[in-house]
Amino acid sequence: MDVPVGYDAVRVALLEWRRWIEGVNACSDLVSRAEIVLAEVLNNISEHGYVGRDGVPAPIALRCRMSVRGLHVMVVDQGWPVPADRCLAGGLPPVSLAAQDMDSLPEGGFGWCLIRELTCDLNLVSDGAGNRLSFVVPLCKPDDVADPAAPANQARPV
Amino acid sequence: MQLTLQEQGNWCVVTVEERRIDAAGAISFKEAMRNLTEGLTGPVILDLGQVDFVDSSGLGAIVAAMKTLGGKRRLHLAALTPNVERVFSLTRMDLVFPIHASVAAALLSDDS
Repeated sequence: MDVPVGYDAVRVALLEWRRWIEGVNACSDLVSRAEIVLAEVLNNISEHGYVGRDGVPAPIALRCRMSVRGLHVMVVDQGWPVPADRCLAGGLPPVSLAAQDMDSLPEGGFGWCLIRELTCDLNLVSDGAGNRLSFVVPLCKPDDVADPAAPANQARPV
Repeated sequence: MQLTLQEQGNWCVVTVEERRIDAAGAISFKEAMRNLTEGLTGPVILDLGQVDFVDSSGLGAIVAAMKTLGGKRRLHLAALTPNVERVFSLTRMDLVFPIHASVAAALLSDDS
């Protein structure tokens, strides 16, 4: 599906995506994890003022398919290259638990952490054509599988 | 963003009457929280029982709402649904907020 840029458009797209994934027999826990990841990815692109390189707004291409490993996702935009090294590695923003440090608590910087925590095979290619982010949201653990017909060996996270 | 306020004894209970606190609603959530809690001095419980989705922008807005309370006041969170709880634990923000199973449990807690 093509996703227009903008937070409101992303919200609408995620609701449409939920209707799709609820029709492919994915377990509800995978749907919940994948929705977090997709929200972070699509909102990141929106947040950075994405327009196509020719300055004309271009939609983000979102491709999803289910396999025995989980939900395979490819997100393609036509924007300027993003710093792949910073996105694919890194930790949580620093947090101090001391009450007097409340004002220094981070209000952002969580997005890529969530993406990294909830995916595997995360890959980002930025080149002359734009940015292509791909990842897999693994299937649920066997005891979480909503579909009892699914063989247990297909349901293990990878 | 629809929030409602109830005062219960010393506590202020703010209930989020929405399914999502996401990037599209984060600013409106922050503004609504500021408007509701301005001038209140008691500890605040945020009832998230109706919220089934929080993204990193929503999380940032909840952190900002606690800072707005000022001083060393903590924002107590109650009734997190599983996917919301997941976002707090993956980002370790579950260590920053006092989190309670329900509003009733939060009301019985010690605000310190």
